[in-house]
Amino acid sequence: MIEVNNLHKTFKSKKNTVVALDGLSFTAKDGEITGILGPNGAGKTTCLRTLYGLLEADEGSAIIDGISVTEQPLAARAKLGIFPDKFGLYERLTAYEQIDYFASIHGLQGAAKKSAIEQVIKDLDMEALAHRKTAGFSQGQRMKVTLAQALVHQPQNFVLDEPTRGLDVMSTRVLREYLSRFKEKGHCILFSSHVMQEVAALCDRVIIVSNGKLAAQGTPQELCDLAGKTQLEDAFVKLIGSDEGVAA
Amino acid sequence: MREYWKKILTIGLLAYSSQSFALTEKLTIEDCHIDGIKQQVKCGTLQVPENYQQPNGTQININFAVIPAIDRTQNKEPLMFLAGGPGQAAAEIAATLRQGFTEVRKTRDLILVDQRGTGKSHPLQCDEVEGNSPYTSIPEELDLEDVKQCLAQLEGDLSQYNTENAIRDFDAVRAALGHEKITIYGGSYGTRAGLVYMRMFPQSLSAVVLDSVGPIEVPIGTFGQSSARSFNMLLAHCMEEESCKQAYPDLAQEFATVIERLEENPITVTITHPRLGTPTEFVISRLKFISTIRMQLYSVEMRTMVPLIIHQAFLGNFAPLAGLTAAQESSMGMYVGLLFNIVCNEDLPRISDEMWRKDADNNFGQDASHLAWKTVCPIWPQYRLGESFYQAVTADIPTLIISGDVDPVTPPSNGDYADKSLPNSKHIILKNSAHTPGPSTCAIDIIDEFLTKKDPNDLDESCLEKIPSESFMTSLNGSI
Amino acid sequence: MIQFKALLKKELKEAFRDKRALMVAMMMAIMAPIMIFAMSKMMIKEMVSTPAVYVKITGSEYAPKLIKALADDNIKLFSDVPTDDAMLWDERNIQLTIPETFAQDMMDGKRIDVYLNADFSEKSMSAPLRRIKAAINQYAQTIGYKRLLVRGIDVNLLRPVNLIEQDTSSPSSNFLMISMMLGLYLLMAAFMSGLSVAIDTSAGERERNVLEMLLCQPVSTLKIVLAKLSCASTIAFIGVLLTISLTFASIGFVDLTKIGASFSLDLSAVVIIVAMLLPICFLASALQLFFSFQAKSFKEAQSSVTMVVMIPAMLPFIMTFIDDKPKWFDWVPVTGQSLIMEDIFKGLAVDWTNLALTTLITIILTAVLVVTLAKKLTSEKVVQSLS
Repeated sequence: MIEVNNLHKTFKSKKNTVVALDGLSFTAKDGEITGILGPNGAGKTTCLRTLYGLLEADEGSAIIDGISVTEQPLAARAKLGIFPDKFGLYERLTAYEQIDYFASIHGLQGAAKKSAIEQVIKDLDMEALAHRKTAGFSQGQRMKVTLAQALVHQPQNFVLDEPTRGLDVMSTRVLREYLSRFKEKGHCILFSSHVMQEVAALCDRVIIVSNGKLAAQGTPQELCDLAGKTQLEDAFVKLIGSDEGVAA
Repeated sequence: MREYWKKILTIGLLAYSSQSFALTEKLTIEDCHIDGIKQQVKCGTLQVPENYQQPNGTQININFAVIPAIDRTQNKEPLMFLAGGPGQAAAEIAATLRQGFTEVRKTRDLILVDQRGTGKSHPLQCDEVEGNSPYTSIPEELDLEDVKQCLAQLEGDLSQYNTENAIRDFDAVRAALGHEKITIYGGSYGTRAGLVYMRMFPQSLSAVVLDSVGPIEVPIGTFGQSSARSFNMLLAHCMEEESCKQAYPDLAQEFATVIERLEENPITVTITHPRLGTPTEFVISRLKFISTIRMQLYSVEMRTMVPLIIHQAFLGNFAPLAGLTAAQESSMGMYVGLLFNIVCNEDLPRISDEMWRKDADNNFGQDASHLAWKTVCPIWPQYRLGESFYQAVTADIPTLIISGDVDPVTPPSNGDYADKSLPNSKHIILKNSAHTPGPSTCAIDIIDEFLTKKDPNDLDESCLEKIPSESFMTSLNGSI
Repeated sequence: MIQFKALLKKELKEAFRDKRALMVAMMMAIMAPIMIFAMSKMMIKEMVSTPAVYVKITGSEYAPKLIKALADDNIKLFSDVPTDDAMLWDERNIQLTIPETFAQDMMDGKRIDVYLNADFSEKSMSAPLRRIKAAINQYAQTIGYKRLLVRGIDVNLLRPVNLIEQDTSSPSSNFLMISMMLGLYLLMAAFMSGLSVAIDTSAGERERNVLEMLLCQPVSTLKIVLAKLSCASTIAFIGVLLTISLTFASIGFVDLTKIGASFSLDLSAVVIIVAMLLPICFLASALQLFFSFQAKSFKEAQSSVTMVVMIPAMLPFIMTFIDDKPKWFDWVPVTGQSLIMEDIFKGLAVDWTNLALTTLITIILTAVLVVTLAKKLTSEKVVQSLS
């Protein structure tokens, strides 16, 4: 479970001051897929980075399974699986080695590590890829590797930052299916996106962020009701009060 | 007078030998400079008994120098140089040797030991007598009083300054320096010493080079025949060269004429002192003329001037002779005390009247080289070495024997004696080369190859063919 | 520990699979012996061998003995040049003119003017010209001495003062250049060999978007930095080892004794040098990582880090131009090691105090860099520059 309470974050540079988060609060529950929806620059990535402990909030807290990210960043991260905004691969390693690397970082070893890696490879149907170096992998294949390395240690919570960007239809389907299965097992999944259909199709709950604040939250249906629209997209535009930065 | 007899008696050979005697606690070594060598070398002394029969008796210090190999990583056995004379101090000629033995020195230390009685090893030397001038004194007037006075100055038990004890010193230095085996190079009397070393301590030697041999079978002292041979070859070579033949068509005759004139009476001329520039009397006698010429026969470079000197003397111009006298005055020192001590005791007794007579039967200097020995030796303190000392050496050590064809003191026939008695030797004769040609370009390469291969019969001798013929100075201003 | 092992294993795997970076790394090691080999070969050729020189001599028939004296020094007539070299010597065009009055002037004792005509500024000509001059001077001097001698003049009058030089350097240090060059190369190898690996693992990873993922993992940045440092310094150290061993292997093929030189280091000296360079490898890699992580892009890292890192690498080189070295050079990293190597090459005793001090300072400096860098990696500035 991920709880975000009253997050404030301001970036100061010589030229200007940007308020990225302005009192954002929400909760992503276990066994649910929570989507963060917001236009570009709404503070989605800042919010997630604060969750990872890469950024420190000026105010407020992020708590993962009861562990404060600010106080125990390493322990909190151990509870997380992360699918970052821009993901790269170690191109000189094979997919297997790469997954192995992250498994080891999470403290897995020996037979446990081996079975965990094999399990995740099987789950993602990537046996054929496992022992190839990742250089030259297609976007879909790269996504699978990234997914595998993020989930090899079976984290209770899984955070994805715009995971479907650049993916083809087939890969997107694979991702969705996998996330659904993961949810079935009782994990907490939080993912940010600005793709409306995806959020509508996948999410149990949607959090709409605008200008660093929570604009609205609820199931997709609740949001439509709230905005008095039938389409989530229309509801979204209505809720953030502008149509800027919305991708169809 | 004394000064002059010292010069004129630079007639010895060059040789040397040794006996194991390791007293390392009596060894000192330090970095030092030797004239003519810019880099530092190692200088050392080793204390040894004057008489090896009395190890606790009088001690003397044997001085030595080590010129380190350029590349010491190869750990090759060092080369010990056995100096000539007898009476030459090896360490004093270090600079010349360093230059001559560049090829060998690249990978081997050069060990230079002052033979006992020379250099800084209890030298047997006499003070120069004031007022004696090499220009006015003549060998015929050798003054026995000077010799006696010199003898009185010498310290120690002269009978211990013999070849065998010298070899014991050398081997003691070898052992003290921590070398199980060494190679040796003997030149002139140094070959005699080398042969004695081979007999006394064969286990200390891995290879031997004998350059211009003084074999034990041939006593040092009779140089009449060998000088005449060398001189006659010079005359022949002059006649073979067009410009020399043209310049001096009657050279042999002119020489005979000069000798004839001098036999009647020494000639006295007034010259400008070669060094001081002041008018000076210059007395030329037969012996002085012959011995000066004879000294030039030792080296190829000086031989180039011999025809000119003879011709000018024939014309009555003795300035060239004065110039040579000046050059000799500043040449290498010889420890005359040791020279006479060894030659008078180890060689002269072996020369029979018949041998003296035969040696004097020549057309160059007749008995000119005998006079000094015959005058000095009778009054020199005596010692005798055992008969075994005079046996031919048969040690089975790889040995390279080198002779210069036109050598006036150790002709190639000397090398043959050693070659015959040694079971593992090769005799190489360098044409148009004189005394101790070992350090010459051609020979030093062969020596270096030999010291490495240690097989005297497997050497590249191709350069022997390329030794140029002798050439001569055909006028007072040189030759074309 | 599992984490560090995994981090290091991955770094090494990547480094050793990066053929390009490895090649750059090992370039130093291979270049050093080649350079030293080539330079010493060239020097030996300059100093000892007397390759045939072909001179266009006009009037050679007037001075046969002079021609012979030249020939003895391997200076030959252009007419004898082998066809292969004819072009070269024709181009070099060294001309020697002997007057037809040579023989008569020699006999008359007149000064004979012989003309040597060539391009004296041409570098390749300096050795041949020097030899021609030396041979002719030697020839003339010998004749001059003999002329005086046969006139009854002591030839020593020509040398009123004789200077005897006494070199006080230790006997083993008569030729140091090769060792000095090796010393420079070893330091360069320590700094250069790990360079591309260090940049690749820092700025390179950030550019490839894998750094953020790593920073989000439950692992301390200190461990990350240490792993990357260990990897880069391992490569640097391999470079140093290769340099020293290849140099030893190649130097065996050069007959340095020909120029009165030797190159000999005993095993203990080599061990000291290698042990001393190990902390330098770490310092070098730490510096590289430090600056590379702060560069805005891979490209910038490449240029700026190379620049920054060249400074310490060049220190010993610059030092050779400073005659009066300040005391602090003894214990400052790089210069300290360099001076100790110099002593070792000179055959002097190692100053253990200086060695310990400079090593300690090197290690402390490395540690400070590592800790600072680990701290910086947690800072928001670094995170922000990730995207």
